Amino acid sequence: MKVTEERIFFKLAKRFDWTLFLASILLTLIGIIFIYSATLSTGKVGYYFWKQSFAFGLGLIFMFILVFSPYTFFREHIYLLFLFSVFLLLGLFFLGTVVRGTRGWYNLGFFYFQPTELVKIFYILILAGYLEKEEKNLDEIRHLFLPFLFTFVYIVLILAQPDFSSSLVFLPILLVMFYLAGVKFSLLFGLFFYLFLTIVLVLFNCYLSLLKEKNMFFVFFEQVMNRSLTGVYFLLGIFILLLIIYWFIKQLKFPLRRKHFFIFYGLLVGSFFSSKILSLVIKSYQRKRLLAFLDPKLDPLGAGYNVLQSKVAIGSGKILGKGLFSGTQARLGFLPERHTDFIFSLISEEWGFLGSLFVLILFFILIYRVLNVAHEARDHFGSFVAGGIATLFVFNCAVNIGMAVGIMPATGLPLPFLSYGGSHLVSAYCAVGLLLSIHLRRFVH
Amino acid sequence: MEINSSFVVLRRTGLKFFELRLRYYFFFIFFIFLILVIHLFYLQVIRGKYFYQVSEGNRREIYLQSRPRGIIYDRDGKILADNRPVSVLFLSLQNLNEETLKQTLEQLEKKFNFSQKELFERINLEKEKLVLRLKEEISREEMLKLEENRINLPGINLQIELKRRYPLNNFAAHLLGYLNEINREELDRLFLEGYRPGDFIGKSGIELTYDNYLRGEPGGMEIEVDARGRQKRIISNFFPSLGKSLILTLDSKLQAVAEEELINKGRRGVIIVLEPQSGEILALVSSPGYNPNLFIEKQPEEVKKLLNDSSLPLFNRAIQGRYAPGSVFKIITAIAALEENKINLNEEFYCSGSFTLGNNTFHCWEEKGHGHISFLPALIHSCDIYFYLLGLRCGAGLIEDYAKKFGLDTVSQIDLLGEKKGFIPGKVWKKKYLKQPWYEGDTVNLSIGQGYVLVTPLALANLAAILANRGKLLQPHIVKKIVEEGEVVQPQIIWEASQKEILHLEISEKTWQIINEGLGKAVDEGTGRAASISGLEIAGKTGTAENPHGEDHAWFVGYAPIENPRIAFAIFVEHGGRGGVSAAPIARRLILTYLKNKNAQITSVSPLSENESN
Repeated sequence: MKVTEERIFFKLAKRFDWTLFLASILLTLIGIIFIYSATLSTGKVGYYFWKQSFAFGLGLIFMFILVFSPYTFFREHIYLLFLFSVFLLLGLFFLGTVVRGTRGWYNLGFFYFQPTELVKIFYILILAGYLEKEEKNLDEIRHLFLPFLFTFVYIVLILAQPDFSSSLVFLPILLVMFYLAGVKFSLLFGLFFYLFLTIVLVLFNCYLSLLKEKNMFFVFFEQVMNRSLTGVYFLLGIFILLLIIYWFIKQLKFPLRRKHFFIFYGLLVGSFFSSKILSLVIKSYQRKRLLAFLDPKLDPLGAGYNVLQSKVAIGSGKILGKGLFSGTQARLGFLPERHTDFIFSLISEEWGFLGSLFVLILFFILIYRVLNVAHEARDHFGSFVAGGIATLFVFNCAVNIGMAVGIMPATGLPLPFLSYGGSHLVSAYCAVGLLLSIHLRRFVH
Repeated sequence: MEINSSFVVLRRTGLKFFELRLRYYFFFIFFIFLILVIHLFYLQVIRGKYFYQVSEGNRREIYLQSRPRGIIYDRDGKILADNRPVSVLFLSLQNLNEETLKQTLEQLEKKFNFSQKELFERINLEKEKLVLRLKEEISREEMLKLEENRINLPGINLQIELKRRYPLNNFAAHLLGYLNEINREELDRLFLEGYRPGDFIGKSGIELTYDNYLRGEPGGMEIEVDARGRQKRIISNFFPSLGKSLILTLDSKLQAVAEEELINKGRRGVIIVLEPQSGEILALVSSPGYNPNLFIEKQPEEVKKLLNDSSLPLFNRAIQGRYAPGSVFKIITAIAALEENKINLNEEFYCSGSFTLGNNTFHCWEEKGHGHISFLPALIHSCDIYFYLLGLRCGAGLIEDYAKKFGLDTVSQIDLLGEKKGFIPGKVWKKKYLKQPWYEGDTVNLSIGQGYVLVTPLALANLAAILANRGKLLQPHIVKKIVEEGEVVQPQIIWEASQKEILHLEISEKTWQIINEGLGKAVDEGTGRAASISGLEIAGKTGTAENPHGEDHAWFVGYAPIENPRIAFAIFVEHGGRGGVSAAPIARRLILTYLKNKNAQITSVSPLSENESN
């Protein structure tokens, strides 16, 4: 009996994805060190350090709970999960605490809990469960209605907090999971087109709002974007224009179905309205940040300042860095949000290019292992979950680091495992727990 | 149908196809990471140095302490240039954006009566400057007001500066030179040596030559500041080293007399007095002068007036003016003839008052003529006809050679920048540049220092020194010592002018004796009588240079006493007429002044006073 137990333990230890586990541990430890470094100059050094360490411990507990429980449990209860997460998000409007204008936290006394982070994991589980179930019917659009509905509900609820940056991650996850599940390419393209157009319109609207000298073209678009009636006329005009083009293409005997025409128009209208909604939700500081990304010279001491200082911090680290706890940009307060959004800039400053490369390689190894989990999972549910989580990590990484180096607009997404934030870290470890669980059970049929 | 549908399923959900999609996705992610790595490489490796400097600039603030410029003394320790403290209001544009700049300007208009429009114009005009000097000599009330409104005045700084002051105003202006704000070109050239925008830099005179010593090393504190500008700690503290002080060879009393004679009397011209045994310049005047304080006080109207003045007050005639030497040049012709044995001292030429050569008639200054005249009387009375004939006998080439031997066409490298070379014409030059042959008439002109020949007053002063030293010329110089003056420590001499021989002519003793005799008698009984002082043997040669601009220039060049000469001088009065009339009396006054100072040293001279001899 004892022998078999030991055998099982060794078997488990052998199957356990140590690389994935250690990569995430290492990233978290680096994160904690740099949170310590970032807060050295503030009066509350221990405060952030211990809170993050506590969250780390809590995360590990949740991780092990998830490792040792069968992940298939979630597949059976996706609607329950959906209801629970909606309940969590709705509850915020009654019990939530406002932090920096966003009603996104539950005050648990010793801990501020941000359900949005957890909901992201739930969202991936729900999508994976649904996609696996409907895998054979994904060619038909009506079977995709439910995922869209889930996404829509989440985004609306999160935007209502309002939390613009958190809402961004849902559509990329949806897009990638659809892709992995084998949804038709035309549909993916439509979705991508919609996303792209929405973002472009939002940026364009931001740009218009701060432009001082406007020519005819800009004035016209401002009217369209900001006056409902003009907007409606504009959309009608586009409709007629497209109709004429459609008719013209038909005359050329080009095989074009009426459905495509309507889908295209629908996407246009959809992105037009969603961009309008987004423009309303975006806070003025976020609008300024977006603008600063479009044109850093617009306000070099205001919104553009953060990104500029972040670039200076990163660049000034040179190859070997200024040494741990010696980053002048961070210590003297030039680098903003250095323990959260801009922690990567701090690492780059103090550890140089070698350090930032090391962190990026760790992330890459982590994501490689996550995709490996997707590859080796025994069922498609596991694969889809892994794919979704990979997207969650990659998206956060790319947007956060892209922002730090100045090639992405500053949105304020955290860097997984590294940025300060308890809920964020715990939910990341929940994700790791799920992945390890999927990986551990890859041979169980 | 069944096959078809299963194929469709396989197409999308088959393991193989899922793997393929996963692989594409993996490549996509790899691509994203690659972009990030490339961008990090760009920022940290390629542009790392730049960003490092930016971050250092972020955290370091340098507070430069004003460093007093070195003091300039005359040879007796009298102060010619020093400094005085001034409070200056600065506007630093470096960390201002449009909004804060506007705020500052508004406040300045409201509280300090500046015109916003004018300030804006100045900022646009002086764009390359990061720091604008708004106002100097801030009153106490204004200082208090400034401190009260400091928060509303980003970019405004008040600093105590030590400003150059020339307590004697116009005194020795050309010798001292003047300071002005550093210009773009100088800044580019001198930035590495620590010059910064807004610095004052020597523009002429010894302020320019010795700027490096006078200005000292910048000092100050490097302070680490955080993002809010709070000072964290002092990174380094380097004390400014005071500018080195200069002790000049200048004799203020002599200089004062010289200036009186020219500047105060409204005469344009030059007086140079030097010590032949040492090369020390005792007085150097270029008239008209100017007040170097005007540049420091920033009086644009006055400065503009100086720059546009047709009498060229900023032009240092002593080293930059080039004039015909006139009869002074006869010394050269005489020495050439004596040295080359072209003349017997007893040989007489006949001077009828004019002399015809081909189609040209040349005149002697003495219209009546000197009659039969030999070498010494010709030199004493400066007979032109004699020297025409002497020049023709010697030939132009010989005279040219001797003029060049005496350095009349070179610079003496006195420690004033901008010294010009004189010009000695010759056959080769005329052929090359004027495309004309050398005529005998040219030789005639050259032999009495007219025609193409041009010299600087300094070159003639050097000539006088050579004659006084019997062939030797010591490096003429103005700065005697460079002294480091500390607040605690004793002044330390860090450099002292050495007496360097820059010319040594091999000329026979006999020639020197004849020249001394001739020049001595020229003062005693000849053209230079106006300079004579009873009991003192003075050598001198007058010159009256014809020139195309108007009345003749007057020259008087000489040294005294003839045995063991103490001073040599060149006096030049622009459009002064005859040298014996307008220049020679100045020499007399200078020598008397010198004697009065040095009475003890020259015992052979009976006690003299200026009054008595007048």
